[in-house]
Amino acid sequence: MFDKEYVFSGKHADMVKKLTAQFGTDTNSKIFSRNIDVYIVAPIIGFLYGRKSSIDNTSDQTTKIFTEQLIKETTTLKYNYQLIMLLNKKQLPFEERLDKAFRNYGNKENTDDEETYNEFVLGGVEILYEKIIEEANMSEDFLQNIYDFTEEFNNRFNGSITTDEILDLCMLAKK
Amino acid sequence: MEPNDKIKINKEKAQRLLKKLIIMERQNLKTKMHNDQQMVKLIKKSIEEEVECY
Amino acid sequence: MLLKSIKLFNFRQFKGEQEASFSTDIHKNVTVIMGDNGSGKTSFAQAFTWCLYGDTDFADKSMLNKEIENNLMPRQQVSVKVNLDLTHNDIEYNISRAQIYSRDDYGKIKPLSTSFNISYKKNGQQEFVKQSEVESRIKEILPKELSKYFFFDGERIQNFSKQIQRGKSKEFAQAVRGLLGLNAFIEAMEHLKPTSKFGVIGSYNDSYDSSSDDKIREYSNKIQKYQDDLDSIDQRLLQINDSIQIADEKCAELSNKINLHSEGERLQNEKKSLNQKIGKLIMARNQAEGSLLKVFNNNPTAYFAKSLIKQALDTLSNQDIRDKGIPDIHERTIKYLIDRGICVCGTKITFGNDAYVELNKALEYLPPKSIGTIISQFVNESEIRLKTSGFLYEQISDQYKIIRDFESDIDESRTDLSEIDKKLTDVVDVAPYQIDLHKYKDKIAELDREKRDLYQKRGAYLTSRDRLITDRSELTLRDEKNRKIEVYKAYAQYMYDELYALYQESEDKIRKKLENYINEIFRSIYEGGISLKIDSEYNIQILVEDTDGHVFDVEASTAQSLSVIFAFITGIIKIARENNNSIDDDSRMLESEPYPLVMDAPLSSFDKTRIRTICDTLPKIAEQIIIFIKDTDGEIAEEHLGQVVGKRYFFDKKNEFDTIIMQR
Repeated sequence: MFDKEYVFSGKHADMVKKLTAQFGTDTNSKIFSRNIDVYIVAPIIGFLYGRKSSIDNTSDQTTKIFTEQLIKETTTLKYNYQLIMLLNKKQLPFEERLDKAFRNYGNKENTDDEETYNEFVLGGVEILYEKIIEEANMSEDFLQNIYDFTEEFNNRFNGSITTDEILDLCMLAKK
Repeated sequence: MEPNDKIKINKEKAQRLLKKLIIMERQNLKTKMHNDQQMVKLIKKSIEEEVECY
Repeated sequence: MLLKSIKLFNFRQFKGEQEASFSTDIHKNVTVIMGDNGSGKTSFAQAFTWCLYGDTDFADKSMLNKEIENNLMPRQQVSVKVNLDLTHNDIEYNISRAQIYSRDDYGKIKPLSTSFNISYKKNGQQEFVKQSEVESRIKEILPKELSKYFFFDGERIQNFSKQIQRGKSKEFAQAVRGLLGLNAFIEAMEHLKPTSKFGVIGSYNDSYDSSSDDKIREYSNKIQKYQDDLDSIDQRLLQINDSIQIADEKCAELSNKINLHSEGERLQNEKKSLNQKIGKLIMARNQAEGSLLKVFNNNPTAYFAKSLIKQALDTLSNQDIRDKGIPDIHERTIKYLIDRGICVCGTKITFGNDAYVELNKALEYLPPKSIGTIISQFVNESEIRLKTSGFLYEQISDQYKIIRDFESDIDESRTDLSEIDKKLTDVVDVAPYQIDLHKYKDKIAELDREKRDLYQKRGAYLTSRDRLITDRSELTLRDEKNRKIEVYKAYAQYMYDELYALYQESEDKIRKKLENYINEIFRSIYEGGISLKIDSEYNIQILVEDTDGHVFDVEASTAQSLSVIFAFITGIIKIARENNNSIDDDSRMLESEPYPLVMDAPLSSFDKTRIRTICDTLPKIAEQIIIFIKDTDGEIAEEHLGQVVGKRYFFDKKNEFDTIIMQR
């Protein structure tokens, strides 16, 4: 995984293009700097919001991420993948999830898990697009949307966790 | 004003002249008989007459 | 002067021949002419001025009745005439002015010839005043500068009140003095004036016997030259003073405007600094935006995955991970055993046999492939991520607030800017005013310099002239004939000096009297702490007395202005009448005659009480009153004037172009 070029297509390509487009007078006024920045965050978002989406072929649009870039970010990408696999589908017994996350990582036969992961990626792209660009209140202010999204996210997911708590847990888990 | 300290004036004569002048002027304003030039001539005449008199 | 009658021919609204005669009865000396606005009262009053002076205040200088004009065929001619019968200085005059109009071949109305005649009755015969003298005769009957005050256009009072209060021409003062009966003095002084070439003294200077001494003639010429120069310097000084006064007024006006509009400068500056502020704010805001985006893009995963990491760690720590691994055995160990071919326990390991298979399976659970290891790696990873996750939300939140603050500052500044712009559209750019102000100030400085130069010259000329005069009289005294001339001159000079002093005294007296009368009359119309002062040029100041007795200058309201003018004129008329009636010798020297009052609707600006007072005061003061009133004022005027009205007319307005004068 994460060793070859990745291509967004169809509506997702359009969304990613918009997410990485310059919206201000400054060349740095972009929501996400590069396609890969979207790609890194998207699966986490998709997973948390419970959104999966399949590849869309309704248009010819594409935008891609170069292999070198992916290779560079392998550590993060792998980590995210493991995280998701570990926590995905609580109906699955823990053992199986462990296997998916740790043992089966990198196996060529892992197409199901890979597909699941990709579906979360695309789902996350959609969420990001909806929340930041397409916001219901039609605000053209991306900054506002970024802020609102972050606030909403914070309240919903991160509100009750402190870093210390987690670090303690780390200690625990190391045993 | 011309300095005329070497010349003596009889004040009585002068006052008489004055009254006469005013009457003349008043009259002329009414009748308009004389123009300015003529008036000046008349005035001069009356001055000279008065001066020559005793 | 008393008006007897007036005849109008095609004069403005008065089509055809119309006439009115005025009451000259001593007791019933009021003639009332009633008419609504637009019926021709103003035109009628202007008929007097047109007849006497040949012009009017109307914008349309054509006097021709419009209906007649419309019906005029090409090449046809028609004339407009006004005939005025009056008495002045016991002479019955007929003053007649006519203007011929014609329609030319292009259909335009053109004024052709004009004629102006003054005739009078003498010895039963009608004699005409010579054309070259009509102007001065009119001036003597009623000077134009004063006519406005006797043909009293109450509706246009604002201009006049300003004139009276701010002082106008010397001519006005002269004219007033004339009316006040100081004419004979003025004439006498004119004739005697030492500085005039044509006066008595000047004439004597000329008549020095030149044959007896050429030098005297030479002196006389030089003296006269100096005199001429002095005269022109004096004239120029007067001009300069007038110009300076005008320039001063302009400067005051411009300074006012600049002050009013200096707002504009201030606002421009404010605008500039606001624009700068906005520029800086925008930059700051953009910077903050950049920071926010940077934060958002800088390893956001750690932040977003925080909850997941927690959960994962939770799960991992709670679960009992059965590590199928064997403690302290590494992959290397197995590989070594497989290579060696013999297990620790002694079992043979060959490719494919049970031992081999089992050992390979175990590899799955031994480091580095052991799940424990992998999980440790995972947990380490988690730790690292957490430590770097930082405070994405807090940071974004802070930056966002900063951005919003900047934005609201920008908005506020922009609103302020548009407020200023709104104000600026009302404000005029002061730069041109300031340029003008400088120009005028420079002009004034220039004029002042010229003035100083002229004064210097004047001083020098005076000295030279006087020296020459002394020298000349020394010379002349030596000669018998010329000596006589000196004597005559001395008398003339004495007379002049006496007259001058007497005149000043009388004028002072009369002016004080006038001031008193005016205040009396003014107070009877307008009670309350206001008094008037007249200066030597007959300018009127309105002073208000406050409760502490302090007196200060005020701007007059319309009613006050009217009252001032009314009081002024009635005061003059009163004095004129007194002079006529007095048998006192001194006063007889100041002779003048009464004047009528032709008033065009002044009542409209007064309230009812004032009207009453005016109606009471008027007839007692003027010999003859001709008064125009509106219908609405009519009843009150009738009520208070009724007894003294000798003749009544009213203007019957048939249509826009035709009014008929009807006797009532």
